[in-house]
Amino acid sequence: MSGHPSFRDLDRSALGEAMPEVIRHAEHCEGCRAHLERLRSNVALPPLRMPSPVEARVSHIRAPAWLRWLGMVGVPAAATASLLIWIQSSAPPDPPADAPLPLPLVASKGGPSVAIYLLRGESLSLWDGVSAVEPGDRIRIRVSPAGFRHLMVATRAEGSDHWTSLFQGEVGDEAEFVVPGAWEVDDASEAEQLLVALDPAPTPLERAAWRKELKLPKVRSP
Amino acid sequence: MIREKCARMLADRDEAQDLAQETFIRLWQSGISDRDPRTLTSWMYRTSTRLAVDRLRQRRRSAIHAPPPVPDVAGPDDALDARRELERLADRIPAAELEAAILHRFDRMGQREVAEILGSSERSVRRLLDRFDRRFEQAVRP
Repeated sequence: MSGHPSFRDLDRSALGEAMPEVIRHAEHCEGCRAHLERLRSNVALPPLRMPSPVEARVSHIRAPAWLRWLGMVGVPAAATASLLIWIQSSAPPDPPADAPLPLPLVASKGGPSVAIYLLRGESLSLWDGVSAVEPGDRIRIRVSPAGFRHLMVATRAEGSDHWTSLFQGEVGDEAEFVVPGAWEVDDASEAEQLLVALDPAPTPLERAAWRKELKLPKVRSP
Repeated sequence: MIREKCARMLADRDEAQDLAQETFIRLWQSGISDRDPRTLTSWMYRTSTRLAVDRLRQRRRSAIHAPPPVPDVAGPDDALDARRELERLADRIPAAELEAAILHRFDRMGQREVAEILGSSERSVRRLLDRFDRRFEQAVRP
């Protein structure tokens, strides 16, 4: 091996693969050693909690305010660390890595579906349609457009008639589309709602061929 | 690990974190059951690199209507400059060349390892990198 090992080799070593040449290099290279130690230190975080599938009951949920659009929010070290745990744990994962994926949160047979991913600290889960979200939770939306090509996501304050657009764009031919960016649950007192709409072409929100309104209860900060 | 990989590719920290989250969700959805570090890292590097290239090219196309993001990734100035330069040229360079260049330049992979990640031959990778170097040289030449 000449020069530094590739970052992938460092990653493989941090994941437990026997790579003596990487270890030997890191003993004398401060930068590579620091990279390895940084990766390994993440392993101490709690494991990934996976959700169980739950049928949607979103239309019956009371909805205090909670959402704030962030535009671009990322996954903290927690998610990465969770991956490390998932890979390295000698105990069976929870659930097994080859377990079926959770069911979509909102779906009709053959039609579009919406799933809400919830990142809370180091836990990434699928919102079950019932559980309250908390300030600081980060939310992403996955849509199965079922042939529709134009996606709109909007929010509004509780009691308001005006929807504020959060995302509009083409979803292409993908079977699943993860909406870019994320939402962070805030501590606002006003209630807000989320609307996901699909149509064959760009169209006003109220005329979209498929619409799903979501309401998530929120636990308020003490 | 995923976050560090994404931060090496994108100059904007928030965008890198967003990309890491997208990669992580895809890993979760992928149903990968093989826990071998070689297989997992291969999947992660391939997926995150392709997502980054898509994002770079998409952003360049919409840049006329939006202000550029403010880079705030801590690190050596030359690495940050390289990421900025790559982002500036992303829409002028084919995706396959960008992928090979990212893996080679930012992830320090040799041609054989890049070929393993991209599922191609070393010869193909060598050609991609040669073409990338020529385009890059032409693009930055005053």
